[in-house]
Amino acid sequence: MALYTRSGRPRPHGSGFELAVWYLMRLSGLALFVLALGHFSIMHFIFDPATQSAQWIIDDRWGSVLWRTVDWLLLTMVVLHAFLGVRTVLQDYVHGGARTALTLLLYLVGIALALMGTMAVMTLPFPVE
Amino acid sequence: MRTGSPDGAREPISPCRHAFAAARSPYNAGVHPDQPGTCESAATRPATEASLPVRYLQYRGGEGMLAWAFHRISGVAIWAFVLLHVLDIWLVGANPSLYDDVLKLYASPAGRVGETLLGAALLYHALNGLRIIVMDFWPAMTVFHKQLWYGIWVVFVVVGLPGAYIILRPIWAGVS
Repeated sequence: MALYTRSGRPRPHGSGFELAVWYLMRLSGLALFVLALGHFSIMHFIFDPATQSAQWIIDDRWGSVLWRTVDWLLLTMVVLHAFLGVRTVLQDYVHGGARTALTLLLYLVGIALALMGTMAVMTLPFPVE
Repeated sequence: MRTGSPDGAREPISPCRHAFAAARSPYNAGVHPDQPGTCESAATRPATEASLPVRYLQYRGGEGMLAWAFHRISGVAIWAFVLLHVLDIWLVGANPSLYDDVLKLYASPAGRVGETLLGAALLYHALNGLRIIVMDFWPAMTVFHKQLWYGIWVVFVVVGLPGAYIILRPIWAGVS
């Protein structure tokens, strides 16, 4: 199998975990092209940090289930993509027991972050009509 | 489909076999295409070359290496911001007044410069990521990896300059 890729990671051989990660990075990357750039544009070009507040998020930004779903999808994709990406970086620069320990720590932080974000997007009260 | 292999076979070719593949061939078997250890071996390098860090850069060189390095740096930077950003969104429910204080930081001049840098990292990572996906799933495009890289810089400037203006304008307009 030829390794064509340039400046990305070569496609791993076989059909194991590494190949699944390789495809997952590309799929989540495509999703993030829309979700993350869209999110950044909404928060900085349509709105502005100066006009935002916790109350604004409750009343407007997360006032509908649709926007909470979109932002939860963004959270899921970004946690997968960012933490699997840093995992590749660790594999390049750290070896042996330190790699195992840091990778485990990385996964724990990623899971904790996904849980915190899910908690935020799901438990925030909806605006009172 | 073109594979880059001289005889049309799908196996990776030796990177030094012909002029096209010299030094920066994208077809190196088992080796990261923008990392060392491919064409130029220690045996062919002049012994009088510069000290290691300089040689390291000269050795890899080229657009492919820069594309890779920027992608990695921007990726790790965005990862670090994601850590901060999920924590601050968590504050909306947990401690709303502290969240409002964090937002004031985001709206400050220093915050806006940081957001511009974040947006630049995000835009580059997104565009170069698309470039990687194109080459992964349409291997013939690997031949044009430099042109694709120049192309994403055109989009980066065309989209990024107005974006940076919108984010930074309140600093001198005195809105925040």
